[in-house]
Amino acid sequence: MTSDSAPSRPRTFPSAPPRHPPARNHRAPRAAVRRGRLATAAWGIALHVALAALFAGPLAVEDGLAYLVPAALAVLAPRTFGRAGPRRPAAGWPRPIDAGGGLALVRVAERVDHRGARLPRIVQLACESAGWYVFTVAGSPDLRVASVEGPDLPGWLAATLGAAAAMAGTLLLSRRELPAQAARHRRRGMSVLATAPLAGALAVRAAQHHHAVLLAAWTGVSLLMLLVAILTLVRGQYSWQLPERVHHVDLTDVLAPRHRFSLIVPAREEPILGRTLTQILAGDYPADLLELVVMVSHDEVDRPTRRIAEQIAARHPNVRVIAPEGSRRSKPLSLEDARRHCTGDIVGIVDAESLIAGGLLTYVNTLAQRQADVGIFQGGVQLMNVRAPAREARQPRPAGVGRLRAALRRWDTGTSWWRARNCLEYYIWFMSRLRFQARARFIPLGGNTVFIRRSVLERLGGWDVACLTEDCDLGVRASVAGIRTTVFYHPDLTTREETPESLTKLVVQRTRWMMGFMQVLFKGDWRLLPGARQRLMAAEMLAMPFFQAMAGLLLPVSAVLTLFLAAPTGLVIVFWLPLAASVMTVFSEQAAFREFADAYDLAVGRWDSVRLILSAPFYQLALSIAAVRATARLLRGRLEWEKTSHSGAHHGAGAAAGRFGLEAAS
Amino acid sequence: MTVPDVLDALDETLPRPVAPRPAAWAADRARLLGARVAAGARAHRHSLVLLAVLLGVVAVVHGINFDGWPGRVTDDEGTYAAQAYSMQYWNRIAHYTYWYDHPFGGWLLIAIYTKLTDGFHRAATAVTAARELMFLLHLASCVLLYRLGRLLGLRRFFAGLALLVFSLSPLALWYQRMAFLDNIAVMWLLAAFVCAASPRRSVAAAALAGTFMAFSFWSKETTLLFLPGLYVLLWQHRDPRNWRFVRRNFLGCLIGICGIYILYAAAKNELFEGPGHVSLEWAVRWQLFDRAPSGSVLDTSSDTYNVVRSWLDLDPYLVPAGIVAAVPLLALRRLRVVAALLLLQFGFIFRNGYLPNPYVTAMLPFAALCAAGLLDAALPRRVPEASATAARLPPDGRASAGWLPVVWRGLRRGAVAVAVVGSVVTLAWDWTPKIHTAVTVDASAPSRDATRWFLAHIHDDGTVITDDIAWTDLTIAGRRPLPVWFYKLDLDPEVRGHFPNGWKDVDYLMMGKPPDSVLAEVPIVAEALRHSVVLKSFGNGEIEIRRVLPPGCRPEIPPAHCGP
Repeated sequence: MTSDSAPSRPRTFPSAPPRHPPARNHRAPRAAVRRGRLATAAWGIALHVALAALFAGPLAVEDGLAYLVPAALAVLAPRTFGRAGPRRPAAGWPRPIDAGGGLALVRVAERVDHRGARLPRIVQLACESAGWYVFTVAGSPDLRVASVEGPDLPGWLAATLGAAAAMAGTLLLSRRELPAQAARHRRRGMSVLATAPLAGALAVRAAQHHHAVLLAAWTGVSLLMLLVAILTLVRGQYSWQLPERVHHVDLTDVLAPRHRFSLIVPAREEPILGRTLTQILAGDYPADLLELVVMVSHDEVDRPTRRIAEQIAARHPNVRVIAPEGSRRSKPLSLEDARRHCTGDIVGIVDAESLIAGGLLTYVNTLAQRQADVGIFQGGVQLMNVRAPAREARQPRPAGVGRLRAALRRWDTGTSWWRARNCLEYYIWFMSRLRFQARARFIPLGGNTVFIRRSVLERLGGWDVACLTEDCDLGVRASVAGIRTTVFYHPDLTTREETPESLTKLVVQRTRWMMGFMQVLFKGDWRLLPGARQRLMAAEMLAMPFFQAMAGLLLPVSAVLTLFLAAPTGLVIVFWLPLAASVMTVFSEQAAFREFADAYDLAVGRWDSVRLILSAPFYQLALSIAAVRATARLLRGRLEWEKTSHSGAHHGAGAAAGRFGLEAAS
Repeated sequence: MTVPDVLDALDETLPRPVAPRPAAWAADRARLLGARVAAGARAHRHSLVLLAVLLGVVAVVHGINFDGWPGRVTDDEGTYAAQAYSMQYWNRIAHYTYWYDHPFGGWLLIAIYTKLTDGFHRAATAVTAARELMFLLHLASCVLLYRLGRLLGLRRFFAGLALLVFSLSPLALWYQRMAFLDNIAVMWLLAAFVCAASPRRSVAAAALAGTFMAFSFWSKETTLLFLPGLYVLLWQHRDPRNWRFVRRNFLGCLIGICGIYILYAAAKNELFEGPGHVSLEWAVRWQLFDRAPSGSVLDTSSDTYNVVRSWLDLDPYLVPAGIVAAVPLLALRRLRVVAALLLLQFGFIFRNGYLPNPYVTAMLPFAALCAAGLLDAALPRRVPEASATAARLPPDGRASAGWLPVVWRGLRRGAVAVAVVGSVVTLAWDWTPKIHTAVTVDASAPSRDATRWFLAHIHDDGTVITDDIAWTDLTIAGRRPLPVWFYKLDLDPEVRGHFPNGWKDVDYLMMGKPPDSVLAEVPIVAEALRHSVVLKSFGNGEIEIRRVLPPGCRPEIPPAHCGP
């Protein structure tokens, strides 16, 4: 059996998580500490001056601006430039395990984490501006943006003075802790005032050279998008990078059932719940080691679902139906409620509309015994309907609906192009991308077919009920806590699902996911990830909605810049490189599509492949729309629950009837 | 703010980070990398030792007198050096209008090298700087050829043999020392082949193979001829589990990077023909169809025949031996691609199109591999001990009745031994004098002397028409007004605009006498030559500095006081 997580020090669950050592509080080697700190400061200044010289010299940036490049970097990475100041012990860090859940909550607003407190960025920016004023005044005339009197020093000396001033400012300010809210606000205000002249000077320069600034900015955006596109491409092919990496699930390796599973089935208006439950219960895992916790709502809308669940619970002693009261229900709330009722040592989540594979629990049981140091097991979820339902199964045009509206609706629900793309997206995500993320030790988990050791769940403090994508959030926090994840994907073990009923619903669903990602991004737990590479990866992944929105803009803006602005040829080529990378992605996705079709014995032909290529820009457009929508909604603060509904196409034709009216729910 | 203030600010109690310090992490990574490199070196220690020895030999033979021999026999060297110069100092792709003769990746690489090493101002001449890069590329090609041989199943001895003949052939010394785009392209091509035959069969290796093939195209477009062979090689080394991805990543990288060339032309609006600008379309059509063919190789008066003749004069053994060896090797799967590519190149000589002089450069590695590969295939492999015992004692216990295989093996061993010894003797006999010439004769002296003489004796601001080798050297030396490349005087309308009076605006000529076929293309230069007197001649007329005398002017009057 192969695993995606590289073996390391074996850690066992359940056990108490490693206690954080007490804050270092030694006063004794004071001189040594001072020397070390002084060295850090000197290193920071030297780095700043060296970078400024590099940009002013070989890279031929204007002298006055060259100083600002390391200054901006120092704001972004204060520790590297020795500007972070002393690491004040963060108040209430590390959090005691029994005080509301370990890593669950971090006060990001005050920039406190395990590495100590640091200044708000705006204050740091003010200090850097102050350093730049010193640099400008002290330097020779060609360094000055405006005509001011000064001692006329050589560039490197002026840069040294400026960096030293900025460093002194940060260190002094970070020494003082401001307990009062008002004082903090006042400091912020002062900082904005201090930054204003620099901002003004830069704005004037930018306006003078707006053509160059525009081109440079768009070059930067293009290069960033190129990087993101290449990373997406490479990570999407992780599973096929080496031939021996492709088949990673060994179905013949089976251990005797030992772990006790608690499967949470959150259900809301799911007429096919009965089918799902029956299917799980008919699996090969022994009933005494299996517990089903069905979460339904207490309200009137959910009465049929509740009745189905209760009927099954009457026949099976290991099925429990829980219907908590409360007006606002959401999936994370249900999961949190259900968690308290779980008794098994592995908690699994199964969506009410999905089909669980027969041998899944046995396989997870084997995996959990083989990999004692892994806390979370993520199975594959696969959308299966690459094509729209056949014509006969479609709804007849209701009376009173116009021809145009009917056509629009048919285009919305009856088309296949986006369904194939959606299925492929899932295949690549679960087969390859998540496996890469598991190995990279940063994984946004899926919300279905995920199995977590209960001890791990308790340690993480459960789900965040305020989050729209509680699954992603849980994965981030688990990664922060250093919990390993194993992702496995095999056609015989995947949970089969269906695409949303219509393109509109897909956009609605994506809007919710993207809002969730942004929520997790702004919540900031990912800042606590131990490795810089992990943090970068987290920032890139969680900011994906912004990149998606940008991708929609990229093509038209590049075209306009190419046609109407006289850009140098080299830059024009750079503008089009992200598009080339996207084309390459679409091209290589064909391989994944063929693999997908082979794995599930789908009868796809050449037309499906061609359609997949042709549909790529339109699908990207739909994602961009969702991203823009998510951003707008987040700005307006509308964090309401948008539930996607399902029609049960993969459960057979019969279930589809009578489900059409439900889409009004979203 | 005083120092104690800062120190106090620095001195605080610290919480210990949860994660290991980044420094420790970096040290771990470095240690891991070091261990991996050490393991790799241990696994390949025999090859590394062999390569070190062979590369030493090769570096000595190729490095000594690399600037002196061959002499400045072709203007192309100067053209590429000049274009690299204009890239480095003028941020332009060529010193005159770039007309899509070749993609500009080749001289971009030269420009990168000269930029990094300050080549143009350090080396004796501009071409010397470009030749330095050729020397380094040759060493890289040698390593890649050895690796490719190993990946294609050649034993170390034969892979090393291939390396030696590839490098020591007088043809190789002649062509690989010169600053030709073919050398750059062949290096990338070999890199692409090595990646395509990678034993790991990873997607990344295929993507790299595509990338290197694209770089090869960017250096010289004619290497696209090898693309089918490369693809077949990749296909031969495929793994069914990820072949779909390997294929698409290979093609994607290849097409994507090659496509930038078309994108470049499109961005400059020079993709299609139009009035008043050069175009990629025209250049491709000219290269493929309109360029005057150099005749049939069977016609003893044709240019093609003379080119092939000159190759055989340099080395009559390696390429013919490779071609002969390639025919039986077609039956051997592992070397089929290499053999087929060599035969394909051989066949292209009979196409009766235009045959460029350095065409043979790309044949050399394949010929070396085929020749050494045939010997490797002929020499029976030593059977591993266990299976040898099994072969000697068949399961039914009877002693092996096969005296025939033993004799056959002995015959093959003998044949290979005879072939190796024979070829070593023959090649040593034929090549040693030529290699001796290559490391001793300084044939480039006339060109260098001419430049020096011109700079020392001519200080007026007369216009000088030069070949491209002198062009770059004079430009680097600061000659103003800039010299003019003689080709462009007639063929570039923009340049001709500066010469309203035709040949009468020309003051000096500095070049060898071009053949009549070239002079027919450049009437103004021919006219200027006719009205000129020789000031100084170098290397028996190999290069001459001439003064153009309009009517009513004498050589002792400076150009400014001459003329109407």
